[in-house]
Amino acid sequence: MKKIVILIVLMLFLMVGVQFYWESPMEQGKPLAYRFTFVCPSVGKGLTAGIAAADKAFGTDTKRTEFENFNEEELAYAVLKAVYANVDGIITVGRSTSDTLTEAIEQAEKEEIPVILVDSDLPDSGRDCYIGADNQDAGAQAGRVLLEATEGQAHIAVITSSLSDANQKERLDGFLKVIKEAPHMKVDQVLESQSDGMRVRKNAQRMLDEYPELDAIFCTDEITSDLLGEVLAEEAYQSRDIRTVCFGMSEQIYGYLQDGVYDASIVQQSFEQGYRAVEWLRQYLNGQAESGEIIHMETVVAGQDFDFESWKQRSESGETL
Amino acid sequence: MKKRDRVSSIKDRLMGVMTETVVISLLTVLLCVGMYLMTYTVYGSSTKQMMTLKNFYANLEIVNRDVYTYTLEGDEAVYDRITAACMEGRGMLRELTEAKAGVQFYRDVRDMQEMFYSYTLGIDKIYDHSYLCDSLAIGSKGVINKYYNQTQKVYNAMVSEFQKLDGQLLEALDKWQSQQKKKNFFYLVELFLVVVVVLVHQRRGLRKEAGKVIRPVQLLTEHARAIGHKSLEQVEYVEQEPDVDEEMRLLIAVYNSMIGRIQAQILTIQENASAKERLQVQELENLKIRNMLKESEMKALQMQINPHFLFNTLNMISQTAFLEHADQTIQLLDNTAKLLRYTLDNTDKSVTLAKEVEIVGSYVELQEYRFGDRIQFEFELDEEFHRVQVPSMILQPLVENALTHGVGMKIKDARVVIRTIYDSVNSRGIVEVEDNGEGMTEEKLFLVRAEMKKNQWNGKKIGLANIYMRLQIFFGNAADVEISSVPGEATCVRLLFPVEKESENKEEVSGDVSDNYCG
Repeated sequence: MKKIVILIVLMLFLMVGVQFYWESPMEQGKPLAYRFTFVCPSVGKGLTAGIAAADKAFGTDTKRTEFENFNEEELAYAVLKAVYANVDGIITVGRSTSDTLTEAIEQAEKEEIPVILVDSDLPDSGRDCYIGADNQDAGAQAGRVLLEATEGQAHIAVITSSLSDANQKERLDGFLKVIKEAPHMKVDQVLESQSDGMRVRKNAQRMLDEYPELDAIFCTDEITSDLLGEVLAEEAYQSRDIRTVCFGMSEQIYGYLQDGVYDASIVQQSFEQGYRAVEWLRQYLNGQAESGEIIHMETVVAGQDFDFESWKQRSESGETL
Repeated sequence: MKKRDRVSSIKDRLMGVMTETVVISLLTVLLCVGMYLMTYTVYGSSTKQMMTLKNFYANLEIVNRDVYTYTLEGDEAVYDRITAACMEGRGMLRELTEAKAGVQFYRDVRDMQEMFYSYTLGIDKIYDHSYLCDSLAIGSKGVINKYYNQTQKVYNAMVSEFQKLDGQLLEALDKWQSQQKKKNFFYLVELFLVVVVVLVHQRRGLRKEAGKVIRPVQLLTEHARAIGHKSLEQVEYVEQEPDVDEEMRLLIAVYNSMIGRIQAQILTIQENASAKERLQVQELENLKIRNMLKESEMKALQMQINPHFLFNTLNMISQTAFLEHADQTIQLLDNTAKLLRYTLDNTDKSVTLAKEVEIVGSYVELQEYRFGDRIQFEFELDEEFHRVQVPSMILQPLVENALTHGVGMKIKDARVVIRTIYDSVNSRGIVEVEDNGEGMTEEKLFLVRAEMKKNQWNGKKIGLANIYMRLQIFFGNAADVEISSVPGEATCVRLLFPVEKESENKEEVSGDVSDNYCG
């Protein structure tokens, strides 16, 4: 009988354990200090991880509204919905050349909701703060790396997600400024991928086939960089020894760097950007920060010796700064 | 008392096993019911949340239609309806914030709450401005339309968020169902394992009990079955095994004791049966003797009847002979009558040896008339012991035998000696009848002796066997009959029986006994 009782007790413990183990993801939400909304097209994990780490650190609640493909109207409407929801702050990216997003940001400002832009800036939008890289500088940095890799002589193809993205445009401008100074470096082709996998593959292949003299590529955004490596890794293009400099960091990009498909990647401090964005909003709401602030964060040139594991751990685990 | 408490009975132990099984079964059933209720409650709660969200959306649509109506008509009743519906909507959203559908859902509901608040603020602005419409007619309608458009933007945002919320809730429900499936599977596996463990445990317990109880019962059954095949005295005791239950041990002990008692009783019965058998043999023997006596009596009676008739006839003849003055005939008839009377009167009686000798004398006289000089009868009598009581008719048959089988066929010089001798040394009397007839061979002599000893008596012969038997009965096996014979020369039949001493001079007489002995 004693054994049976022990068995039953063990069984009950096990049942309760199982009950709680599976019950945890379905917990009830609790009201937190501030309600922020992060509206963005698909960006790297680093930015999201930084925001999550900041939420954890400051007890804030940042809702993430992401889009698979960049759409300016959708982005602006998401900002407006955040305004209707009367959130305490909005974080978004300034990837827009039209007035739609600017109007949405102005609407937020009208409702006294602070808006902070990360990754790319819209200085005339009335946003309260920009945190991110100086994209002109980042483009110039990429140009210098490619100049060195090609020894100042190359037929270059530029692949960008969209030239209507302010940050892409700035990066390209910075890049061109540097290239301009090298007489034997020439940008032959500029391709817009719209961050679409199929489009990247199809157009990049066609471009490389049509222009066999192309021997250098500058890729201006992370999503396209993720996808382009697959095409360049093909045997037909490997033999052409195409020197490539891209933007961002991910498993794929690091893999291509290691395989020699890419020569270098310009890496932003995405995690820090996300973290600092939440931190700044909190400070602003508490009266500790001023509107109109611009915080530029340095970019890093990642080569084969890049410490990917440390970067990954910091980006994905939500480790604080 | 302590021992009794410690050693529980078979019934108690079996009841214990039963109780354990019942308790565990009940617990298992309760757990199953608990699981079901929990699942049902959570499912019910999730369904209720779904319904609340749907109702909120339906309510929102009604409110928005009413807002449109109110914007057009400015009807106060419509506004009151809007206000009531908004109150209801807020309550529904508050209810949804308590749903256990995850952090994201909570946040979206909070946003929805704020959107709804913005929406109602817009309605309030329309309401507030509708009063101004009456006084400031120019341009007021345009302002109202502007507010209305703003509410519609928020409304549209809410509708799109509603779809998201609905999806989240469905996703949460799916997730919960998926979790529930996993949990249920785990619980079922766990319950199954528990049931298996408990059954194995109970089976072990039952087997242990069975070993203590059923094994001894089987042993007892086997032994009991063996009783049917073996004789009871061969049945062995049931061996007491070490781990047998106390009650079964007692049962085996009782069984063994019973077998022991039965075996002892069988032994007693067998002994009694043996004794009874011996007694029956003895009784049979006695019965045979009594039958022989009865038959002897019958013969004697028959003999009495014939002699009576003859006796009367003889008396009549004797009277006739007297009238005719035939003296010799009278003498013969008297002797015959005397012999017959003796036979008639003394059958089955004891008489003195003297009387026996006297009757033999009468018989001899008759035979002397019959045989004349052919046969000589001699009497050598020792009358010292003639007062001794002997069975009647023991001497006459011997003389008759001597005449019939001994000297009957002899033409001359036949002799029959009747001799009585008192053996004082052995205190016995001896009566001999000796003839010098044809004698008997050894074989015949052996046969005659055997027949006599075996009491074979065919009824027609009242011979040696009869005499031997009667002497044996009369003297209680102390008497004997000896026969000696020499073929072609002589035969002597000798009766020996105990006699009490009567006088001192018997010593002297005894000295002659051996000399006169026919053997």
